[in-house]
Amino acid sequence: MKYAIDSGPHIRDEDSTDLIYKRLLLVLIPLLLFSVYKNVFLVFIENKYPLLDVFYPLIVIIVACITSFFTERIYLKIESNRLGYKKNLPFYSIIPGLFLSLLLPINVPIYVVILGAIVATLFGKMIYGGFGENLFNPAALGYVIIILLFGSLLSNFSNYLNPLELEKYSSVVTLDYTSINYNNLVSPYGNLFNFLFGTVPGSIGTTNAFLILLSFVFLSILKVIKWKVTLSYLLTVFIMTFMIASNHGEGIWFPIFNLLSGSLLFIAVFMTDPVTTPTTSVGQILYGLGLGVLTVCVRFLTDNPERILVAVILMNILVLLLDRLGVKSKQDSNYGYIFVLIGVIFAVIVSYFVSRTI
Amino acid sequence: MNKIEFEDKDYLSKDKLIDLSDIDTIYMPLVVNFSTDVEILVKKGKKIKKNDPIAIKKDLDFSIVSPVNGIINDISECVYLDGRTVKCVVIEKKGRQPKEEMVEDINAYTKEEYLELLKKYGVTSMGGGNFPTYIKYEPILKTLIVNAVECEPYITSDYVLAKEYFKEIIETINAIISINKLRECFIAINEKYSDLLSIYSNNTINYSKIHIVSVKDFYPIGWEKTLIKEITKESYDKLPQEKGIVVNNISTIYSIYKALKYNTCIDKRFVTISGERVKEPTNALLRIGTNLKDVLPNIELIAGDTIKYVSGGPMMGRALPKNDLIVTQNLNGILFLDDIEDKKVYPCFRCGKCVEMCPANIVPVLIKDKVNNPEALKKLNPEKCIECGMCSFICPSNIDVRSFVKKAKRSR
Ligand code: SF4
Ligand code: SF4
Repeated sequence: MKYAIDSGPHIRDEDSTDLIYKRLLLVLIPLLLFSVYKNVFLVFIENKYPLLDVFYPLIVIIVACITSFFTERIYLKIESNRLGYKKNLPFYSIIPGLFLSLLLPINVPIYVVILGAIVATLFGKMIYGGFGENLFNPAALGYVIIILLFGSLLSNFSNYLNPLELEKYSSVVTLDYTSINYNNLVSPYGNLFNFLFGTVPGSIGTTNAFLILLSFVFLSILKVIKWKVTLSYLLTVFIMTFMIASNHGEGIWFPIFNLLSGSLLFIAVFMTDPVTTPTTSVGQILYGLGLGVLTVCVRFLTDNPERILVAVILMNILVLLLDRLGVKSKQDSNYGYIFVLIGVIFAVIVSYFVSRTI
Repeated sequence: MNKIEFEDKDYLSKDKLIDLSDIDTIYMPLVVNFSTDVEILVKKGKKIKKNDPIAIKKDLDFSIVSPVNGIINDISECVYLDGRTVKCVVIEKKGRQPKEEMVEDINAYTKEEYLELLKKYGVTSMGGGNFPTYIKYEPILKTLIVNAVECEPYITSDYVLAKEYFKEIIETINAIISINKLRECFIAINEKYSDLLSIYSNNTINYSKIHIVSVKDFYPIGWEKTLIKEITKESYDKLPQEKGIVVNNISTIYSIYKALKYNTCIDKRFVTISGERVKEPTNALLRIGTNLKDVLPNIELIAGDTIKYVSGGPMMGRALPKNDLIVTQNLNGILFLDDIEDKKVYPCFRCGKCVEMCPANIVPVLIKDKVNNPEALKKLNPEKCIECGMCSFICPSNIDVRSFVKKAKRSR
């Protein structure tokens, strides 16, 4: 009989990284289906648009996934001896492209999709050593590169409209959060329920807030994502925009609108992936807080409210620092309270400042 | 959330017992407190009496004593339970063994005599550690916690001992309380052992200072810090003695009993022999110093491919390359397990599960990242690791995180 040498432990938890990522992709399926329903099916039954236009959103998603997949394959071919073991994970390789495509406007040119997906996979992930080693969220990085190269594409409101919506909303102008006016922001699209259920213009796959919230619950229960990041992010944005609204005599609709619009929920749930967020609890809370503050700044202090993924990239850089604070808080939990308190005070000051400027 | 609730495996061996203590060759590994820095006091070919010192660890002023009368046969090497090959003294049991003489009243010892007895008869922790017990009793103490929780799956040797010798255990605890002038004693018993709980409750009614506590069954409740926190809600920095608390494994109490009542060292202990590959899991009464190779023919294994031969529990134990492990005071079990098939290792994706799990409140994943950077390790406190293995257990990427932390610990 042969004896296996092993330093143990000799029993292991059943869950595996492989299963965790399979669950992530599974949870995405309803979102994809909704996107197809809204952007393809509803357009298709009108029976008056060219087929290419009808299926265009689907083509974007598929092209992005394929690009991502092959970019990784080719990179691995070249670098195979260095990254041998990662060959075992083919299905993860579509993730950067898939997420990127869901965040893009519907009328994005194919070459932009391909470029974005290549950047996301190559510079967002592979050159760091592949899955698990990356500093930046790959899809966010791809998106930021597209902002840099094709900025106007993303700020042009009509790019977010599918053929049906183009007819319906021809007179509406770009979202301007600083106006804090229900009639400007919400009324053109019906009411807040339309935002909740995603029947408003927006990026390809991120409009249905309800499904995203549902995914959040599932992914948290299934221990796929770090719920502390998401929750602290959403709370921060909510409280800050609530303060801003109150300062302008507006009510609860405004913070809710802020959470439901502009891919924010999607970013909160899917762009705060485990790899690029802190590992300690306090680090995770501070990450969400910081991301929230930056998001509010991007929305209210710049002309390009759709660019909150830049905030994600900025926060990615801070992960190691935040984890260092997290380690300190693990040694003495008083530090944790102090750090979070400082963060909250900072957020309050920023809200005050923002509501004064707009 | 730093606890794990395991599936119960205790029923396998819990109620079975065999005596395999009829052995003549005794191997005594020269290890004290996991250190091999000890001085040998005996020579090959010389006679030795039971309780005579074999080797001494000078800085702790503590000797390893012979568990039998016999002749020093050899000074050679053997496998210790942590997987190391260490020096050992081989004793051939010979001649008449000494008769044990009973001391009538063990409450009458003074504290000095008590410490002297623990030192003289080589009492060390029997729960896994290998620390001289007398040192724990040197400070002024107020509370004794007797650890009978056995939180690792499969292992039931403490249970068997606690059940078999409850009278002796209670007598000893009572003596320890009066000798050390303790205020109280808690006997912590795992909630899953309801029979033990009632035996001990019923037999300690007349002892006002002894309290029986039923503790929840989770891992690592057996760790001193967790146990103390559960029972007295106190936390300490480095050692429980800071708070006037001493924690002893229930088997150690029996070893103290031997020293006080019979003025002799412990020469046998129960060892659980279990695991999927053992046909009839059981507890075996084994002589301290037994080479397991000599008794294993009595244990029927289920044939098959690669097997894991584990010294200790499935979390803390090590899979050894050979089957000639020596039974020491701190060996509580031997497991024969299937080699886990599916342990494909994925990259770490920084999920933070190991951080959430770690009962020592350190950050295993960052220690793993920085394992070759001693400067960065300073702030991460790898020395606090208790090697419980929970980080490795939980890691969805099947990374053996603990081995990184251990390495970091050593590099400091
Ligand atoms: S549990 Fe494993 S995968 Fe998760 S952070 Fe720790 S080492 Fe990395
Ligand atoms: S083995 Fe060490 S690092 Fe890992 S969980 Fe246990 S105490 Fe923490």
